[in-house]
Amino acid sequence: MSRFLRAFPVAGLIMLAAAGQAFAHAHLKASTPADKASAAAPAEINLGFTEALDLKFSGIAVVGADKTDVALGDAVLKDDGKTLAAPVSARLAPGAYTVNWHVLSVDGHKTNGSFTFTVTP
Amino acid sequence: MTADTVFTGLRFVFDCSALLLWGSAIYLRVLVEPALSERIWRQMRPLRIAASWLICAATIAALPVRTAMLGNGWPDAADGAMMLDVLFHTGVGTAWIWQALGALALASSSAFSDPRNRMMVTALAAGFLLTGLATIGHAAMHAGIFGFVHKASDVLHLLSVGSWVGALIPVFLILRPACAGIFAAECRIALIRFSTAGHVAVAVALLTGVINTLMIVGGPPTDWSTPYQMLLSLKIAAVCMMLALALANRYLIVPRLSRRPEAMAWLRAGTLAEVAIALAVVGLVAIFGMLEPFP
Repeated sequence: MSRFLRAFPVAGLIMLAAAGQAFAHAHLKASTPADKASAAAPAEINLGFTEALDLKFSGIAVVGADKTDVALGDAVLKDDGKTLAAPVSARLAPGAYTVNWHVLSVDGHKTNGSFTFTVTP
Repeated sequence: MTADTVFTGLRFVFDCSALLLWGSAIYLRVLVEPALSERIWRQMRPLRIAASWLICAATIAALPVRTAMLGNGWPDAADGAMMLDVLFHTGVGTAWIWQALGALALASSSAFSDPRNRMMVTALAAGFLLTGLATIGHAAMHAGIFGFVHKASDVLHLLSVGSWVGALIPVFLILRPACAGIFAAECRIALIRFSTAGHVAVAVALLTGVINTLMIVGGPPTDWSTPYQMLLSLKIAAVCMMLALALANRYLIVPRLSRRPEAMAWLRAGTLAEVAIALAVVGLVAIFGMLEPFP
C-alpha cells in the first residue's frame, strides 16, 4: 500500500510530462483560405480541426457580402476525419466572404465558429 | 429546459444506478459468503429493481435527447430520420447502441432464478455499461496510444469507484445488528474483505482519477474561472471528504466495535455519509463532463 502511494507522484509526473495540454472539443486549427486572408477565388473550403469529426452533423456555409449563400458541393472528411472540406461550385466573384462552420467531434461535443476571407480581383 | 440540461439529469440517474448495481453485485457475489449474500441481495430488491428500471428508462430517453442536442433543439427530438443519422453515423450513436445492449443484458438478469447467478449477470451487465461510458466524452478525446491509456484509465476509474461506493449499500445492510446476530461469522468475514478490497479499489480510483485529470486538463485544475476546472476541483474536495470518512470508519471506529456498543451506529452513519457525498460527486461529474475543460 505505502509503495503504491509513493508511486503516485512519480506516475503523475510521467503522465504530466507525456500528456501535455489537449483540447477536449474540436477546435479549428487551420483553414484554407485562412482567416482574414486575401487570395484568388478558392476551389475548395478546407477546415482542419484538433479532433476527428462526425460528417453527418458537421457542415460549412459560406456567405457573401450581400448575405447570399455560396453554393458548395458535398462536404467530405480527410486526414483521419480531422479535416472537413467542401468544394466551391462556381467561381467566387471578388469581395468579402464569411465562412460559418459547425462540427460534431466523434467524442460527442458540438462546436461552431466563423471567419472571413476576401477574394481579390 | 434545454436538451443538454435533461441529458445531464439522465447521466446522473444512469451513472448512479450503474455504479450501485456493479459495486453491490460484484461485492456480494465475490466477497460475501453465499447465505449472507443472498439475504442482503433480497433486502436490496426494491433498490435493485428501481436502479434497473432507471437504467432502461434513461437509456431509452437518451436517444431523442441526444438527437435534440446534436440537431437544433427539441423539435429534432422526434425527427426519425435525424435519430437514425445520430444512431448510425455518429460516435454518440455507436455508444448508445452498446448502452442499449447492456441495458437489455441487465433486464435479462431477472431470467436467472438462482440469486448467485443473478448477481453475476447483474455485475457483468452493469460493469459493461460503465465500461461503455468511456467510449464517448472526454475519455474518447485522444487517438492512438494516449487514447488507449486514457480510455483504459477511465474504465478502471469507473469500475474501481463503483466497487467502492456501490458496495457501501450492502455493507450498510450487513452492519445492522439483526444481521450480525444471525450471521455473526459471515458478517465479520464480509466486512474484513470489504476493508481489504476497499483499500485496493480506493487506491486505483485515486490513481486513475489523477491520470484522467492529467490527460484532460494537462495538470491540476487550477483555473477556477473555467466552470469545468472549478467543478472538478469541487469534486476532488468531495472525494477527499469521502476518503477521510472511509479512513475514519476503518481506523477510528472499527477498532472500537468490540468495546463500544454505539460504534456500530457510528459506522452506519459514516457509511451513509460516504454514500451521500458519492451521490454529490456523481452529480458534479454529470454536469462538468459535458463542459469544455479550457477557457
